[in-house]
Amino acid sequence: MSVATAAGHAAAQPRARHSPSFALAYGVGGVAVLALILLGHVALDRGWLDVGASVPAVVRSFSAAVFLAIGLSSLAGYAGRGAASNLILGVAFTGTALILAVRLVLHVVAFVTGDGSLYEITARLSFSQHTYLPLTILLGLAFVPPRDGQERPRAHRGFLLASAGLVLLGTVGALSPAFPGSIVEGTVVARPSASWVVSAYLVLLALIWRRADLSATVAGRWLVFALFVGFLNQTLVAPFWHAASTSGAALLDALVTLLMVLVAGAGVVLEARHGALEQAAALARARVEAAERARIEEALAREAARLRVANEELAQYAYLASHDLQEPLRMVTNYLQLIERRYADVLDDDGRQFMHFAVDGAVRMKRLTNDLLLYSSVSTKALVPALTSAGAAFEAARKNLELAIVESGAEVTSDPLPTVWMDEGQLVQLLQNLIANALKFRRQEEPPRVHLSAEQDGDVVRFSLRDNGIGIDSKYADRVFGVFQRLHRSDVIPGSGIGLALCRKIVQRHGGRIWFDSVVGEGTTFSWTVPAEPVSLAPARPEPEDAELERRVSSLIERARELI
Amino acid sequence: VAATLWVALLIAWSTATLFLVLGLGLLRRPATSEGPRLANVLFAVWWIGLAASNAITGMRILLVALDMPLTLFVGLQFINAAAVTMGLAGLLYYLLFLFTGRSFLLWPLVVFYALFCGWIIRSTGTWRPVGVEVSATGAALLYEHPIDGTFRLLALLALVGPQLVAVAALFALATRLPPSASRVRLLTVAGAIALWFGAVFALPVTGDATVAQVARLLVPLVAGALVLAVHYPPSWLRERLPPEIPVSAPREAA
Repeated sequence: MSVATAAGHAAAQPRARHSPSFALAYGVGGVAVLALILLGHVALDRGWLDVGASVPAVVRSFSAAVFLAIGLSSLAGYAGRGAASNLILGVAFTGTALILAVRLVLHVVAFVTGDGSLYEITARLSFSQHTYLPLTILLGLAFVPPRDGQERPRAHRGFLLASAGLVLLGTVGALSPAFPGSIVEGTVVARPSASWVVSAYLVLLALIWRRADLSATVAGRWLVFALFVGFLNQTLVAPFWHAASTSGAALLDALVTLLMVLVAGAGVVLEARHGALEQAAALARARVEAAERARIEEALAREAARLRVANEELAQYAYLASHDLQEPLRMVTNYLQLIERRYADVLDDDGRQFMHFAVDGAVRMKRLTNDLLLYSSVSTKALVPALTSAGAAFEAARKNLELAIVESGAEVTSDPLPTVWMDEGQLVQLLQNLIANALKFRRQEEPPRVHLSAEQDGDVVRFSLRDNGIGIDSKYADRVFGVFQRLHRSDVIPGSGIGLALCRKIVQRHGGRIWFDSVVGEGTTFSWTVPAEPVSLAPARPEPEDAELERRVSSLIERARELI
Repeated sequence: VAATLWVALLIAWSTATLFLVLGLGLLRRPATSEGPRLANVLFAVWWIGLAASNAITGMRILLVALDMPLTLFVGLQFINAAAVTMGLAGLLYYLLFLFTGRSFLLWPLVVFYALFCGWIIRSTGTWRPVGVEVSATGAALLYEHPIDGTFRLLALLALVGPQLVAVAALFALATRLPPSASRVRLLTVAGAIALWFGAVFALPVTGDATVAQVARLLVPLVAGALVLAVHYPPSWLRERLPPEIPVSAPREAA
């Protein structure tokens, strides 16, 4: 019999399914334990189990043998594989077998010599035995955690020493009159081991339940079942001792212990056999899956490369198209304007109007190709991020727009701005587009006011550009950043519909995001984030207390939404 | 065995089934991360613990009918102690996580309530069970040295006091939530838990014995049915429930 699967192996593999034989063995075993307990209560109550002290002793000897067999095989498994779970089981069950053996010897001696005081000592040893098992496992989990799959020989030695200390302490304690025995004032329903050991079992079951890496192993499942039956032993079997016949109670206690060990042992054998087959099947499955995964990854890589080339070609095409269109467009525009100027007097009113439409269309088309060229160049040109002063970029953008600012009587200001990790040219372009937008979409009744601020938010810098313009209705939120998307007719407010799309592309290329908040008739705030260079940024402003409170309440409501 | 006992058994096992269905359903509820997942599982432990406790209540009646020995009742009492204390640990952890969002309290709670369970088991022996008292609606252990009234009340307060405070906080949280299905669930769960505590702990201490016994049977059934209904609403109820709280997200265009 061998506890085959190592904790480390199981941790590296997907959680094994419970085989039908495993579930059947544990199901039948569980029912058998419960049936035995139930019958035992009835038999004791009816006085059918008034046997001599030697009978329970014989049963215990079988239990000791089975405990020892499982313990030693687990230790052998540990010697072979070094798995911590095998070590924990091996020490726990070998130690329990040793205590059982001592109890057995004492029984025999007491029977032969007729020394009644020895029975009291065996009762105390029962306490040691029931305490040793959960405490050893607890120590094992604390000393040799196989969570990361790394075995720790030093921890193993510490665990072995601590376990030996526990056996010694339990044995010495059993021989000392300072420790209470099982029999208290003629009734033993309150034997100490039945209460605190239950607590230990509950904590242990919770611990192993949380240790998915351990409970996924064969040995771990064994452990869970053994602890569960141990828990039943301490709850449903403990009151046996309340019955009149202590020898009968001892017999049933021993029988249940034997049965639980046999059932759990059978589960281990079945699972170890099935586990070996499952491991082989899992290995074969893993090979097939690895081959399939490699094939898919290769196909994905091919597809990604194809898409990248297509994307580059498309961007190049857009660039070339817009670039090459400029020359013929310039000719069309120039000659149309020439015709309009020279032959205006030979054309009638309709002709002059048609000519005006043609010139206007050509001019707009030229602007579109210019903007498209700019847009595609953001993608095609290599990004050169560097430490860039946002303040300098803001000044450059303001200078580029000086004429429009003066004409509109705008007030364009900023807070002190940090240094960011961006392509300088693109940052200027971004600011220029947003400020130009603010000047363009202004309210007629008052001059434009534009203000730029920035603050550090974790590992990004968040910029906010606030204006007092006409605002954007939130129903257009999806369209604002689209290419060629316009919310106003071009004859009312000129533009190509590329400006904000360009802003989004620049921010995205720098790993940030952009969004806006707006109130129609009051103004718009465009916000965007870009990665920060931590050392070069101004310290983040502390959040005010009410903001912190608000954040906590929001977080509470979020949890409530998920948990209620 | 009186007919009322069979009715009580039916009610207790029906309640246990409701709680079990609820607990198993919670175990399958998806979560966004490990913290909420664990809280969900521990909340399921509470309902499953209650299911076990109600099943044991019914089982006691069956044992009376089958004339089973006292020792088996004592054993069931031990199992019941474990089911209730672990359930309470689960509930308290869930509530603490809900209010703080922190997971570090799991092990202190498990250890505290496991020790509490050990204390109950130890005390059961000290109180000396001498027989089973059968009433019209159930069966309970009869002790030679039953626990003193004031001490019993203090022990109960130590056991369930934190949960009662947390349930009051749940009601307070409901005022923070916008009208939504989550708020209906929150109020129902808080109300059900408050009802359960009232029926199981407060009534036997202060109320009339018969009323208390009937309430102890019926209140958990009603509470369980209500909680199950708001978690898995039938179509007619679903149509009447307000929508869920919308997920808040920044208005992001990029």
